[in-house]
Amino acid sequence: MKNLCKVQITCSPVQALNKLKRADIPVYNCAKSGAYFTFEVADNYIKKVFAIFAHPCYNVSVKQNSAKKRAVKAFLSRPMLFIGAVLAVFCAALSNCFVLRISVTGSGSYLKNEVLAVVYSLGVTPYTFYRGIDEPSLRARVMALSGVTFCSVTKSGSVLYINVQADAESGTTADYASLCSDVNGTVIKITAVCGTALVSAGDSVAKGDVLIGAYCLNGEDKISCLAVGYAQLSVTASISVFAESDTEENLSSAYAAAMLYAEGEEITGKSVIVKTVADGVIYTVNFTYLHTISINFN
Amino acid sequence: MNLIMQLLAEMGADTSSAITVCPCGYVYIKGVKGVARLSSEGITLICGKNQISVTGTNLAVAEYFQGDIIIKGDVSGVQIEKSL
Repeated sequence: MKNLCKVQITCSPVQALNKLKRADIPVYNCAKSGAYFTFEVADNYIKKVFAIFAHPCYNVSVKQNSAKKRAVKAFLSRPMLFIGAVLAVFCAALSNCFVLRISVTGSGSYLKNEVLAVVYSLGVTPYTFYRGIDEPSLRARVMALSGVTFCSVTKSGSVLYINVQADAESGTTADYASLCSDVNGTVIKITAVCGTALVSAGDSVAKGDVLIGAYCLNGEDKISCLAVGYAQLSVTASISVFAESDTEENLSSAYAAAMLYAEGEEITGKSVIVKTVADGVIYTVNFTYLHTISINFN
Repeated sequence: MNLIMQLLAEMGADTSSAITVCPCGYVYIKGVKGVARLSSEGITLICGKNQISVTGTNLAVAEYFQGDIIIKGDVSGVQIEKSL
């Protein structure tokens, strides 16, 4: 690349070109503009050109310095700007050597705390000098976490990105089925956030009956959707417990058996019938409890 | 010069010939001894006993060195005249 300098001279183009030719100076982009003749010569010929047109009548002047000269001049006139730019580049390069943030991305980002614990245990913490990380060890330990299927580590600038992908099936997923009753009972309360409630409070339902259908009604059309909601059923049950004798303790045990049957749900009513047999007594506990079932509803 | 020479060669110009006119608006002339006239409408060159006149609009000398000249602009004609 030639460093061409634009020269302006008050002279006839013919005379100027012939003089420059005699001096073996290559000239470029010659053009006449008004009383002036402008041309471009390489930087190293500038002195020679001024020597050729030394007479004051030529009124020779440099109209535009070469790009190289302009850059040098700009640097010399604004040294702090360039020093600042160099310092900024240096600081940016230096910050790359540090870890200022650790980011856990991907579908397994909910395991952030566990992943960060693994990273910290491998000696990489924020605001420290980054000497690299034992990637095979990190990957192995992160992959050992529940549901993790993929792990990769990349460092971009001063941020360490850990991409963790978890198995979609291991997370909470939506169930597109309808809500069906798992017991025989009476509906006390039913709430369908999404979907269609097919029973109402007071209805008797049998095991397997659909309580909330996974569809919405649009006129007569059924549009499939997610069933979201819950139902509270009143369930009546009866259990018989044998005891050697009719005591308070044995009665309590019979009630406890009823509680166990109800799986800890609220018992709303109970009665007991004691039947004496040859070896002892049989407690028959009739009780009613509230059973709550839900679908896609926490 | 090298770039323009390469462009001329790629456009099919015979750079060994004394005069080469390219349709893109360049005229390449060898063996120029001097310039007799230079304006944006016409440039007259002295080549030995001949005068070569390049006419057109927006004419300018793109490069002139060691007898080789490249003229750029909207060239409409090149005329060779024998000097007396």
